[in-house]
Amino acid sequence: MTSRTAALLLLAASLAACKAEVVCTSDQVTCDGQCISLASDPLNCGACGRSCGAGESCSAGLCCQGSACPPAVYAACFNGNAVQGSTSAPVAVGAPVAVESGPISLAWRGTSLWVANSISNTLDRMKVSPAGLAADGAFPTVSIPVSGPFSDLEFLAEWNGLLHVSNAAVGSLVIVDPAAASPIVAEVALGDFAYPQGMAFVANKAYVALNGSGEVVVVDLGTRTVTKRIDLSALASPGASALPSRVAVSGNRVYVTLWNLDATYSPAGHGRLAVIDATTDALVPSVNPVDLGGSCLNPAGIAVLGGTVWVTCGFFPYTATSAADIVGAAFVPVDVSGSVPVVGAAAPASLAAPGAISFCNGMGFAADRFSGNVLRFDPAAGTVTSRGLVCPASGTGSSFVADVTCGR
Amino acid sequence: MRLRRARQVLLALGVTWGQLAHGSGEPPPVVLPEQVIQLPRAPAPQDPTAAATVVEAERFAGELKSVAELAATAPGVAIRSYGGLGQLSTISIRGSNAGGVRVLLDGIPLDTAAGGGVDLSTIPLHWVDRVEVVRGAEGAYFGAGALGGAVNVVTLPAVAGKWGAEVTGGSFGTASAVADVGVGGDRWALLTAITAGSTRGDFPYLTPSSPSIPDSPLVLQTRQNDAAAQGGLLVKGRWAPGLDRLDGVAQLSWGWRQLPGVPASPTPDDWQRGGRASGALRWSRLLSSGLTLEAGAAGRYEVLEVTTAPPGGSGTTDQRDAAGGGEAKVTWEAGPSLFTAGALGSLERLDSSASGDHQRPTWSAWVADDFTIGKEAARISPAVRLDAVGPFSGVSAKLGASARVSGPWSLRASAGRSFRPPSFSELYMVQGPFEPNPDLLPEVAWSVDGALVYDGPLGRASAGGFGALYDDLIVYEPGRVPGSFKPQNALRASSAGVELELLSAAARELWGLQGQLSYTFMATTVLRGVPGVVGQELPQRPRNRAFARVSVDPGVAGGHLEIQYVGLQYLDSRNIHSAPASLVVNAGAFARILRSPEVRIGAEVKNLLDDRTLQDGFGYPLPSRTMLVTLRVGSSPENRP
Repeated sequence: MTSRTAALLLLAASLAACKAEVVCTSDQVTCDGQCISLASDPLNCGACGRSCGAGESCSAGLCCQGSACPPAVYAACFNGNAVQGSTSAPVAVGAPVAVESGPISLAWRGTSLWVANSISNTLDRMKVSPAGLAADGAFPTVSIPVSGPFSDLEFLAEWNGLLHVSNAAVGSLVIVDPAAASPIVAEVALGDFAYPQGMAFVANKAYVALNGSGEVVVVDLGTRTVTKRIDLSALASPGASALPSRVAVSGNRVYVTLWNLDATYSPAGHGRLAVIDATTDALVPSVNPVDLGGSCLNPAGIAVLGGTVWVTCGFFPYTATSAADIVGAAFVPVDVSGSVPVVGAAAPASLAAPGAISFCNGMGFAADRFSGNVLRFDPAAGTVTSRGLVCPASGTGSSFVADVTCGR
Repeated sequence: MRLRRARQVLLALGVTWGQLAHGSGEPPPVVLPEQVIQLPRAPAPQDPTAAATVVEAERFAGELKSVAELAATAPGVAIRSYGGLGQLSTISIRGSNAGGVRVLLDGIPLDTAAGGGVDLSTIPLHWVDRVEVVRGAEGAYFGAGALGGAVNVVTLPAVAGKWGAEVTGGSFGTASAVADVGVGGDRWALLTAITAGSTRGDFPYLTPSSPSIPDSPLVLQTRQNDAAAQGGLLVKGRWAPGLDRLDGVAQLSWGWRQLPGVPASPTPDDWQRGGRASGALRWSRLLSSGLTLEAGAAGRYEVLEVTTAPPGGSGTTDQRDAAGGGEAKVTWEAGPSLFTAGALGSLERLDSSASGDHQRPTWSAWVADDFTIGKEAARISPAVRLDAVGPFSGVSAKLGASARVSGPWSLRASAGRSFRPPSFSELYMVQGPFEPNPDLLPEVAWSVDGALVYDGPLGRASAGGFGALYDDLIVYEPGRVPGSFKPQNALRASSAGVELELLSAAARELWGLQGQLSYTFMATTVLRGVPGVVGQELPQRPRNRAFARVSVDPGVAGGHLEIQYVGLQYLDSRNIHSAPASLVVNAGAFARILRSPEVRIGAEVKNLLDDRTLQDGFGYPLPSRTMLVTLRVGSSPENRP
């Protein structure tokens, strides 16, 4: 059976399955078997089961009081040591919330927005209302002990009510239960030179990209042990390092971006994607690596929208003098609805190096790693429709956006 | 007497390269009833009214104490150890950065244009005769760079007929051997000393099983990739034909060490090696008119190679630093004034795989006076110095005064200003995310201090306070390209505190009992910086430090007990993370088997309580209980010329 035949069979099976269930309009999803517009339903505002407060309406997936709506997007301003809300324009809205050093990753836990601060090794909790974003208690909310002259939290994610933190300085996955009296409840060692970065979850397993050792580890979140190490080093260009970075899940597959850099940390070839079968916890045969094409160097972010995995790319050296020195910057769609990922036409991102990306209400928002801009990306049109300065530079230094997440 | 004092001050005012230790330049003994112990009458020969402590290595004879450990017995000093046992060790005085302390070996400055402070572990400890710790903005006496103070390590004097050999062995494969011999005649002396040492450094330590979880259970580990080896040769001589005097010193040292990393992020394949050759030659003539002329030349060549292995490291970097120059000086004693003026010119070149190849000249000129009032009842010591280091120039000044209050009691006070030119690393280093910044300005320091001093038959003691302001401190801020870092003159900080020290042999009739105590309280505050940091304390600056020691030496045998206390210190600029206070107890004993030649065997236990959780301010484990045995054979103290 060819891969095309398999894809057709899978598509037919999917359509047959849909016929047996509720069919909704394109702007609706099913919540408990009902067709719901997440953009406007106050009982399911932005997500199934997320209800707005009394007297609040739901607009663009956000609970609003009259015309006052919370920000549509939040950005982690790394050098500005702040988290800033933004409209969908995107335009900064409201005052930034000062956090500790190096906010690098954002994650929602219920109605609280959490940020991991890379340099200060802390987590901060913020609360959101139609009035905007505000600190929720004294900062830091959680302080993770440092272990040496350097600290480096890289990624924050929520799963089953717990926060999961990549602690790159130690090479571990730190599990935080904000409801517990001692919130740091577990730490899973991931190995020497692990340098953990992004992660994603399937069932009760975490897939953590180890940028240092060129692996993805599978962590059983029940036993909190590493159950599998998946070596991705062979997926890099000859002589290069794979450098796994960000992880996303679609269906039963795990997709991992590979920087694919040489010894000087320059691109060794096109950006690449690793595909892991979450059933076997092994690389999917005959599809690895996925070549993201010549328009994509140093893939940095990944997000799923429908049956498409979107990868952001872009490389610039430390010696860059302007955004014109950015190369291989693009939004690359990868159709993962079939058994074989299909790389689509890349949408170039001029004068920007898009990194972290989130899809909010169908629209993409990407952090620019070269400036304080947030890029608004229309996945249907395949173009960057606007960009706005959300994280302005303070002083003489540069500014960049380390992460973006959708508003709630 | 006056002439002798002039001579001492003259020899001491080597300012930059002038201080070569020899017999007449040493501090005179304090004569107590029926005994003589070596206590410094003028603690800082270079700066007669400075807040200073002279640590005599002889008081720690037979103990394997590093130069940093000797310096740390003085108040105001914080040692930044990176694991002990031959690992990197730098010094901070009164809250300064390591790069803000001028470190000299026999007057030859060791701080290179690369910056970052001087690694005190590269100075073979067996060479050390004494360590002079001078606190405060001392640029007027020690040259540009002395923001927090200066440390002058003075090597053994060349004494004809003095000889010795010593072997040490102990825990964790630690071993050393040293031999020295002095030859000479009436007008000359030559010292040759050779030293070698090594350690495996594989000590046990306790570390959290889950470092990111507070109070997680501790697990026992053995330090890996922590070995070190070092060797050195010292040749030192003096020749005094007639009115002239010629002093010379040459030093060769070589070292290698593994770089273990921190327990949570070990670096099993990292290591470094390097060596230093330095030398100085000085001629002086004392004229009957009270005028003394002096001229000298000095040079230094250093190599350093550091290998940090992938995937965490970036390969091998190397650095070669060469410096050389000459100086001339005149001292004139006229009435109550002892006036000194001098000039210096030198050139330093740094070839570095990280910073490129650069060189810069240094031109300096200084004048100083030591003005005595009323039979030495009071003295005033002004000094001013102009340094031009490459494109950077600045004035350093110091005004000190002391006055006898009553009997052995006196008051001293001083105020100073210093500057530190940016290092080549800060100006030019391009490595990974680090950007150079050729537009940097010099760092500046201001300091004031005062103390009540007792110097009498009970010993020497002082109690004083100090304040320092450090401005335009260079710190790495976000660079031009996102993710990069660039040095900026972005930080202003202050430090203030209290320094107490006591050294007494008042109860010497009781088995030769001696006691030493030093205590420092220091509060630092960031005055300018990024939000969240302003108002916080500087990291790695504990508020409280104390050192206490008692020793006995009744004759055929003796011993000592000492305690080192380091208070809580913050690990980060926002004062979120901290390292707890630590208390270390050391003890030792020795026996004289023979008196002539002197044969002496000693044992020392460091970290007597075997605290295996000790770590420095950067998270590096410090050695557990360490036992060392030393056998020394040498010329008898009574028979030494």
